[in-house]
Parts: sequence; C-alpha cells; structure tokens
Amino acid sequence: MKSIIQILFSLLIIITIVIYPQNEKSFYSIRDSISSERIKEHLFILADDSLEGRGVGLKGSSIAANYIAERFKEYSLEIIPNQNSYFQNIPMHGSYPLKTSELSIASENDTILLDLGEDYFLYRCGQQTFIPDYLPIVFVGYGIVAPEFDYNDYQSVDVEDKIVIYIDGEPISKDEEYFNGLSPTVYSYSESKRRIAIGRGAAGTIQISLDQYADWTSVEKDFNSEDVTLAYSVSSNLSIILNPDLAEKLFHNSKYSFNDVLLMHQQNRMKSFPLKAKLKFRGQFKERDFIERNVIGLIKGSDSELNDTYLLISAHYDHLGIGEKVNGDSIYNGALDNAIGISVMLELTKSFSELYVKPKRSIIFIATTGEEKGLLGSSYYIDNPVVPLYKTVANINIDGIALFKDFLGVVPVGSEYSTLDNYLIQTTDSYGLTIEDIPPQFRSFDAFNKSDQLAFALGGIPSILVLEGLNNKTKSKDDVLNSFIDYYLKKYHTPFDDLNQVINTEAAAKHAKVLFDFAFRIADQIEVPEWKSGSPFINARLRSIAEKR
Amino acid sequence: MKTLIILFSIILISSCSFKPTEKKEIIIIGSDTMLELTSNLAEVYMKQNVGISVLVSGGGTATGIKALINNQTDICTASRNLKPDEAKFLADYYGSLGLVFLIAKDALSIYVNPKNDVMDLTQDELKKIFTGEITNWNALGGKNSSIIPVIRNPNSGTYLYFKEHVLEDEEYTDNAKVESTTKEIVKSIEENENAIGYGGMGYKGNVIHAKINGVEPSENNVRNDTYSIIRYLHFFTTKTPGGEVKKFIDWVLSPAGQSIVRKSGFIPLWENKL
Repeated sequence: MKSIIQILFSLLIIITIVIYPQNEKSFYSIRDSISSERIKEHLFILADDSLEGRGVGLKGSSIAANYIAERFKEYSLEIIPNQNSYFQNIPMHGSYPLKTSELSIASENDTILLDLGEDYFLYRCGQQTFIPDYLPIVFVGYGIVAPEFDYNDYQSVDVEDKIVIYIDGEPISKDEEYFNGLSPTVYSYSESKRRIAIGRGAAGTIQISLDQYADWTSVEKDFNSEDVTLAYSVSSNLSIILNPDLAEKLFHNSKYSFNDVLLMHQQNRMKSFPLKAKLKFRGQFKERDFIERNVIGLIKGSDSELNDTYLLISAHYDHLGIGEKVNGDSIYNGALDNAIGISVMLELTKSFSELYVKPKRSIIFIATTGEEKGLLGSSYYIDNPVVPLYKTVANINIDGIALFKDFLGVVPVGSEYSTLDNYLIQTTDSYGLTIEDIPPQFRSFDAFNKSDQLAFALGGIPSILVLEGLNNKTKSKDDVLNSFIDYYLKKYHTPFDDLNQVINTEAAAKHAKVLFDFAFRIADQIEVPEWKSGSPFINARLRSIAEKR
Repeated sequence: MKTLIILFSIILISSCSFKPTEKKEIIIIGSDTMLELTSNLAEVYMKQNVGISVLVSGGGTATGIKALINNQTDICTASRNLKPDEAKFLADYYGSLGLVFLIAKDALSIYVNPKNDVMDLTQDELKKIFTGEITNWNALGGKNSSIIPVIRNPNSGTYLYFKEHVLEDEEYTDNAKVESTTKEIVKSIEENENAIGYGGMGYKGNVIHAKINGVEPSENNVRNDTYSIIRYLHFFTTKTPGGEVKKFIDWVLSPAGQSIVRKSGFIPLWENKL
C-alpha cells in the first residue's frame, strides 16, 4: 500500500511538472525581481563619459563589450558551442574625408572648387571615390527605375561613365497603388538610388535633398563623421550629397534650370537631361582598419528537441563616440540610444538565467556593434551566424526603452510583417496594455528600417521592435507625444542624450518585464512565428530553410 | 508592399547568399600585383586543407573582372576599384554590384640606387621627375647627372595607379625606360645609379626605398596613414560567397592568412587580433 501511494505521489509530481513545467511563482517572482536599480547600474557604467560614446573601433566600445561579456559570464550564459569566447570578431574599415579633398565643377566659362562640409558631403569615402578626369553630369529626376510602376528616370539618357545627379524622394501621388501613395517606398532611399545608378554604369552620384535633408544643418549632423563599413561591402563609387544652395550653379546654361526641376517635381512632370557642367574628384582620407565585436551568449532551452531552435534577443551597444562639440560637450553618450537598451537586455539575461525551468527553445542574446554606422554588427551576424538562420525562430530587437513608467500601450514595429504580433497580444492582454500604431508624426521616421531588426529580417528571421505607446495612466497622449518629439529633436544623436537628462529606470524595468514575458512566450511555444503572406522577407526565410543555412 | 518585394530582390540581391556547393576547387584570377601574394595564400591553405584545390592565375585586374563577369572564376583579385562599365556588366549579368573584400594594404616604394645622394623626395618632386619637368638630379640637391625614370608597362595596374595618384593623371615623360615587372625595374636601378623607379614596399634588392615627404615606407607609417602612396588590395566576388570560397576568404582575413600577407611583403589589415 505504502509503495502504491509512493508511486502515485511520484506520478503526481511528475505530472505536475509536465503540466506546469514552469513553477508559476518562480516565473512571476523572477519577473517581479527585474530591477530598475540594476538597470540603472548598467546604464551609468555604459553611458558614462569615460566610455567616450562607445564609438566603433575605439576604447569605449571595447570597454563596453568587455563589460557585457563579464555580465554574461556572471549570469551564467553559455558560450556558443564551437566559439572560443562570447565575442564575434568583425573586421571593419573606417574612412574620414579631409578638407584637402578636391571636388571641382567645370562649366563652359569657369571652374569652381567646392568645400567639403560647406558645399557637399560624401555618402561613401575611400579610394573608390576617385574621379581623375572631368566627367559629364546628367540629371536623372529621382534616379529611380521601378518597372512595377512603369517608371524609369533613365530611359531617355545615357549615363555610362558619367556622373548622375538626382533629387531625393519619389514621384508624388495620392494613389496608394502608385509608389505607396504618400508613404515612402524603398525607392526613396539614397542607397537604392545609388545602387540603381551604379548598376546603370554611372561613375558617381550627386543627390540634392528637398525633403529630409533640405536643411543643411541636418546634413552636417548626420554626415560629418567617419564612414565605417564592414571589411567587405557592395562595391561603390563617388556619392555626394550636395548643398541645395549650389544646385542652380550646376544647372546653369543647361536645357532646364534647377528652378524648372522644382516645378517638374511639383507638377509630376519630371524629365531627365544632360547638364553643361562636368565634375572631377580627388579625395583625401584618413583611413583605418580595425576589429569590432558582437557579444553573444546562450541560454540553453529545456526541451531536448526544441532547444536546437533559437530566439534571438538583440540590442546594439555602440553609439556615435566623440563628435562635433555642442555647447562645450563633444561626447555623444547615447544613454537612451542604446545604453539603456543594453542594460535592459542584461537584466533579461539575468532573469532567464535564474529561471528554474528554462523555456523550451534556446535563447541567444546578442549585443551588436556598428548599428549606428549602418547595422554593421547585425549584418555581419547574418552573413556569419553562430547557429543556423533557419533554426532561429524570431528576433526581438531592443532599441528604444519606455520613458514613462505608467505607459499603458506598446507599439510593435514590424508586426505587420509577421505573426509575432499574436505572441505580443497574449503578453499585452495579460498586462492590460493596448497595442498601438506608430504615431503619425513618426511614420516618416521609418522605424523598422532604422535598427538591427531590419538586418535580421533580411536574413529571413521574423523580427520585431517593441516601443512604448502614447496611452499612459498619468499623462495625456499629447504630453507623451511631445516628450518623444522633444527627445527626437533635441537629444537624439546629440551630446545631450546623456546621463544629465531625466531617465526613468522604473519605466525601463516595466518595459523589461513586458519583454521578458513576450520572449518567454515565443521561446516556450511549439508554434513557430512566421512571416505573413506578402511580407518582403519571406523569400529570405525560404532560402535559408532550403539551404539549411 | 509589392514594391518592397521587388526592390529587395533587385537591389539587395548582392547580399543574398548562393547555395554552398560541394565544389572542392577555388579559382582565383586577376591582379599581377597580387599574384605572388595569392599564390602564397593558396599554397599554405591547400597544405592545411588537404582535398581543397586553389587555382591561381594572373593576367591583370581587368582580366580577373572579365573572368568574374563570365563566371570563369570564384574570386577576382584587384588592386583597384571596379570601373563603371564593369559594375554595369555585373549588374546586367548577375543583378548584383558584386562584393568587394579588403585583403591587404600595398605601399608603393620609390627605389633609388644606394649611390644616389637623393633619398628623400616630396610627392610634387616625384611628379616632376616622372612627367619630365625635372630631368637632372642636381635640381634636387644631387649630382649633375640626368635622371632615368623607370616605369612599368602601360598595361600594368601599378602604372595606372602611379599615373593617377602621383602624376595626377598627367602623362609620363617619353624619356622613361619601360620594364615589364618590378623585378626588372629593381635590376635597372641596381645597375644605374641615376635611375629611379617604383614597386611594392616589400620588394627586396640592392636599392634604397626613398622617403616621401620625409616619411619612410614602413608598415607602421602605412598603418598610421603617414606614408602617402598606398592602396588597398581586394577580392571581388559576384555575390556573398558560400561553401569553400567563403571558408577560404575567412581564412585569408584570419591571423593565419594575414601572416601570409606580411610574409608576402604587403601590410596586413588587422594585426593578430582576429
């Protein structure tokens, strides 16, 4: 009798464990132990002036990477099998243009030498930009070839071995079917236009901005820095962003003036035509080659089969480093962008590490580098994944943490592309949070394409960025929105995104709890997140599955 | 949405991988400047990876790029960037602009005879020597003897690099003596104390590597950008490599591969940190 009771009791325990693989109290107690104080501790180390803004290839970035690896070790994250350490070494190349660079424009009557900084900046630097002899310049409208819209700015002009000049943006239309109506398509991206031009045989490109970079001070803010790339990159050539004040000079004596071009843009009657001016360029650069590091750690899943599949949780630790002095401060600390994101990720590593029963799938935590220079660390990871991409079920990227602890809504950036929104709804429902759209004022910011989630998506991994919404228990939506706008206009990518601003780490801790729950749900469910029909990233996923890559 | 799909397939195709094959042969064609370097890399790699065959041939950067476009090589070695028409060819044939890998730095040394008194030149003086504006060493504080510039033949990438970057695209003097290889240039200078020529920094011989603007060509001075006549050496591929080609390129960028770069007389990019 005694033995039967013992057996039954043992069975009961086993059944309980199987049905409730995670002791609820333990899950919630760990979730509730997520600490704003620890987040603050990490934040004050990573955003400190001594780390000099964590610029790539510099001392501060290295200190930050070491700090993250030390925390990974302290929180018992495993090193990925077959890797020697938490570090993934990434060869990078940096090139800084010097004022001695010579950009000459020759017209029929005179030659002008343009000033780097005052008159133009370079999209890409280095020896690839060299144009030893004067080359003709051809205006190509928006610089777009889009067969699906029956649109081709190049159809009536020959651009081979010539410089093309175009304006930013794309044809204007209210028709949602034509260039996405008022929303931008990827054709509006400078990189798209440059690649189209190079693919047509152009020797170089000049962009004149009427929209995002119409104000030259915003160009100076974004371009007056070192061009950093991976040691491998898509081949490129001379690529200039020109001060619009100089446009009329370039168009002088041509068939149409630049003013005519502005009218063509407004009237949707864009035409391409050759200019009378010619251009040559002899750049001078300060170049360097260096090694940067992603920091990667693993928490092994509890299911013997599913633990060979992975949830990827990412946050970038780099920022802009030392830059132009503003009000006596030259350190771009990036406290909110993204020292606090890394701090939240470290708190998540600790929480997952302490779980008595881990989620079924394994979780890879990756602190990426080079995000600010063009998603370099995440792109490198996609080319050199430490576990197969096709076994990586999803990515949660952390880049932007709640400002206010009473937030009642979240904005899932990228949820339209994948079924990850289903998991997020389960989380938000259980926390009484609402799902919100991106505020209209921020739609043009194009958030999904601005951080590492894009690189992971391009690798086929369903990815998402979960930001704070406008609904708030103690603040009006307008107040919250104004705070977001104030940060974006006055602090984002300036030396004032530092520890002197008010940073509510309790809000960060609440955000971390939401992410902890969300991540657990993804990692613990048998169902695999998928791209929705029509998503632009499906093919990448299908390729990685087919290639078992 | 449709726009996104099409554009990502058209424009970003170069970042897509192609399926790794079981091929155990890697073909490399291109730059003569890089021929010895690539052969050394291939030799060591094949010893360490028995069963993998790395076939290397030269012919010049242009030949390599043509082979790349015609799908006759896995890797094109190049001492220069793609020209616009070459990029267009790649785009037309592969829907890709190709990927460029930085492999090493190459410094161009200016060689003079050990008996020559002039061992420090400015870049402007160099230009004047090779364009024929300065024709006697005494204009530079040397002996009263005619200068004999020795240059590579016009099909060489080094000839073009020197012309574009040092002569600022002006023409070489007609009085220059033309040699086909760096080895022959060095031999000419060894035999004539009034001769001056150019070639790789790593090339040894009984010649002096002159200072340029007071800076001697050394690994440190190249690395810290103080020596001025430098260029990058590249590998080009049509798409993101996979399989054995990727493994080979990863190895070239590793400490093991970069040590071969140094032994071959070029400047490794990443020391021994990889």
